Amino acid sequence: MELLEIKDISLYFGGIKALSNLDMAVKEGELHAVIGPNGAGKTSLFNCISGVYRPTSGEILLKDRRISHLKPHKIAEQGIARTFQNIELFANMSVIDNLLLGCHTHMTSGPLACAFFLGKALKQEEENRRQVEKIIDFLEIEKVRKKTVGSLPYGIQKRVEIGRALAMKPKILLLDEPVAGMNVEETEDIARFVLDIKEEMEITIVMVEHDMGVVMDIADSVTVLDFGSKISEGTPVEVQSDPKVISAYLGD
Amino acid sequence: METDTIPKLFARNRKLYFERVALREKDLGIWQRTTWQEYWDHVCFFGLGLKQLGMKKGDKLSILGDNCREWLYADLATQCSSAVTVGIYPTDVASQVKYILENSQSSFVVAKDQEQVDKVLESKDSIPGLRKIIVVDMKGLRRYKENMIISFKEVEALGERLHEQEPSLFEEMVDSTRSEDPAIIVYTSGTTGQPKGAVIDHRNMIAMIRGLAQVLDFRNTDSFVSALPLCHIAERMFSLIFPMWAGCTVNFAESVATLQEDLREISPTAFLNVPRIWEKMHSNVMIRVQDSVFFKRWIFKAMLPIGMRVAELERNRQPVPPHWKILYGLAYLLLLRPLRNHLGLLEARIFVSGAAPLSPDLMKFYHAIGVPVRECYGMTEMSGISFMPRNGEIKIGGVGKPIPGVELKLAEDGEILQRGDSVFAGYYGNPEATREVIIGGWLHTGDVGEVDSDGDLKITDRKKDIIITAGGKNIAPSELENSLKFSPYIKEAVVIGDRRKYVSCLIQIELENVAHWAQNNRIAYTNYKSLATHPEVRKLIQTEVDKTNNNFAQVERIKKFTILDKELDQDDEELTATMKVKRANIEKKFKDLIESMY
Repeated sequence: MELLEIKDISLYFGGIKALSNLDMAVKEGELHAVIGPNGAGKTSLFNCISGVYRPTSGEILLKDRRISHLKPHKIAEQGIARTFQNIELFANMSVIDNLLLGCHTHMTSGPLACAFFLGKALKQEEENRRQVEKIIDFLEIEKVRKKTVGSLPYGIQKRVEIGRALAMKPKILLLDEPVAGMNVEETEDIARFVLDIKEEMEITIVMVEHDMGVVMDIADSVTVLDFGSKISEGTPVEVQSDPKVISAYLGD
Repeated sequence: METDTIPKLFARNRKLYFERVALREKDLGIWQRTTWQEYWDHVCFFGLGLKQLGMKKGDKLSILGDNCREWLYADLATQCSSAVTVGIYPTDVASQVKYILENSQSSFVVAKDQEQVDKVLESKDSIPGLRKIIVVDMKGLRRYKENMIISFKEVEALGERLHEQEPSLFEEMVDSTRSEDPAIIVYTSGTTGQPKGAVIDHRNMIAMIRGLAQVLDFRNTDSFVSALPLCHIAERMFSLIFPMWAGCTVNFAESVATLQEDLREISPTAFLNVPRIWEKMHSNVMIRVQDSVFFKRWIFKAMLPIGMRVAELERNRQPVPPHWKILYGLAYLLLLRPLRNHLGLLEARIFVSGAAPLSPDLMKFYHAIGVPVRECYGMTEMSGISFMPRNGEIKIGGVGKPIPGVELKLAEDGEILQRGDSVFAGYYGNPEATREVIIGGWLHTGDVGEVDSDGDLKITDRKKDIIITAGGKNIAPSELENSLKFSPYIKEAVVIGDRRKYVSCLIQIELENVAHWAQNNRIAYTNYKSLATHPEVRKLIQTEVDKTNNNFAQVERIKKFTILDKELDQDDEELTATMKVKRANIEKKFKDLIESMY
């Protein structure tokens, strides 16, 4: 079943076409990779899905409901969480606080109850903390749970960012270059976590990634973009042998 | 009921302590407790589950993974079934795991997580006797289509069903354990060649603990933090044998990485560790002091000598003059108490270092801060500890007298021989090796030592490690190496000089501390190799070597040294699982480097 459908979307910045007439479907439970050369429009696509940009035309459906007109926080409530290419964490807050913030979208108690930590707020806060601890355990970041994020190495920050997205209990997780700038060992760790997220937590994943090794190893299906339009899609093996993909990457 | 086996002690404790906390493990950020009754239930269900899976008396069950509660459940359940537990180091690579599984003829494996399961699966085809792989943490194993795999919880559920049908079955199994039956096989770290499996029976363990309990007074209020791998005999003693004997509480850290913080939270009453960890704690303190503000540095410099002086008086059993007592009180408030609190050693009263010699300077430092660490002497083949200094008889460089029940004899060449009920039953499937070490009832330890006028034993070194220089001088390399390793910048040192003109040394730098030093001195580097080969670092190490050389006689001094440009690693067969250097392998591997120094 299609969980996320992108129907004929286009995005223009003045005269520049960032995305043009793009169609894409993500099935429930799959790991879908979006690849393409620099400037192909991968991050623009992510920004459209998460509501940062509003597509000029076309629509995006989550479980057959239109989400492309919603504000970003509404989209997050619908169950779409993301990470960013450049880490966007709160550098002066602890790991726990950053993760707790991810739980915030699902808090339903009012400001007064929250301020005085009463009734429902207390209960939800406790539940959130339990949730956060499970994520910490899952991502193996126990050692740094009380450290400020800014003091942590890059690879760990990246993990914290994934953790924050997971804290939102998403249906779909958008990962924007999760292994960029990492060494071999860190890359292997993240790849393992991504697979575990898919299998243990049963979360559908859409991933933009430049590291072809990772994409070919773990993705179930791949969409290739170039200059804002789709040039190929299919399983990693099919895409790899597509002459259009080869020429997009290597030039004609 | 006579308590002549570990399972029978366990049954007694469960009745005696019932609702008291037996184990704690930090899970999801909170210390989770297990009472003796819950402990018993887990072991009972798992033991009966194993019976359902077909475990019989004398079968072997290997446990592969980091320390956790399930490790102990599996260990005890196996012993309660009159079967034998084999511990495998979680850091062992697949080939080593395969060797131990084959050599011990294991029919069951308990693996902690996916990483360990993969190691077993790699070699399962060549181990025909293997029946089930029982997995504690099933994370990431969902895709595995391997019908040998079963989860720990499923086994417990199997056992629970059997328990409902036959409620008294497990207690009967415990009653039928016999003291002369093998209980555990401990694979020796094997600084030479393949590891050998030492078979230890219940009688050995009970004899050892009965003797040791007379030296160290364990109480049921004591708590330990499980820090070394459980397959090592020293940790087995502290996490399994002592709690069974005295009802102490065992704590498991959240993960290996958080051990230091968890230690601080628990503040255990007894602490046993290997010199490597004592060194690490000391060098962390020294680096932190260097980084602190002037006032704190001054406090450290002024107060530590007071601690040193008082500790020395106490060691020599001399009275402490009143003005020193007052000064010590001041030092205690300003430095010693906060420092011990920081290290998580504030509540502790028993401190033991074992497995390798501890440097005298390090021991003086710990005594000065009010941590009376004592060196013990023990080995797998003695079921654990066999020499322990008595209270008030702690000496620098001495390991004290044998525990009650152990006899000591020195051979003509100085080799230490021991006899007693705690001498192990033999190497598994290797009677020749057993005959080589047990001759006429005496265990030949392979260590050389001497007995001083008080009757305390002092270990010189491993017999085969003693260096005889070309000039005919005998040198114990461990003394030099420990003195070098006292430096916060040196992690590992291997002294060389057997049948050579002079003594030389291979040195591995402590990356963390040298990197810190490099940063402070604005020295650019990229990785371990670039740091290790930097001329400024060589100068730094040279001054550290000179410090050591000043304390030794002319012939013993290190004339040349080389800094290794790679870190020694267990995977490269350079270290054992307990981080001891494999001397022969290193000498072979770095042959060219060594030759270049002569």
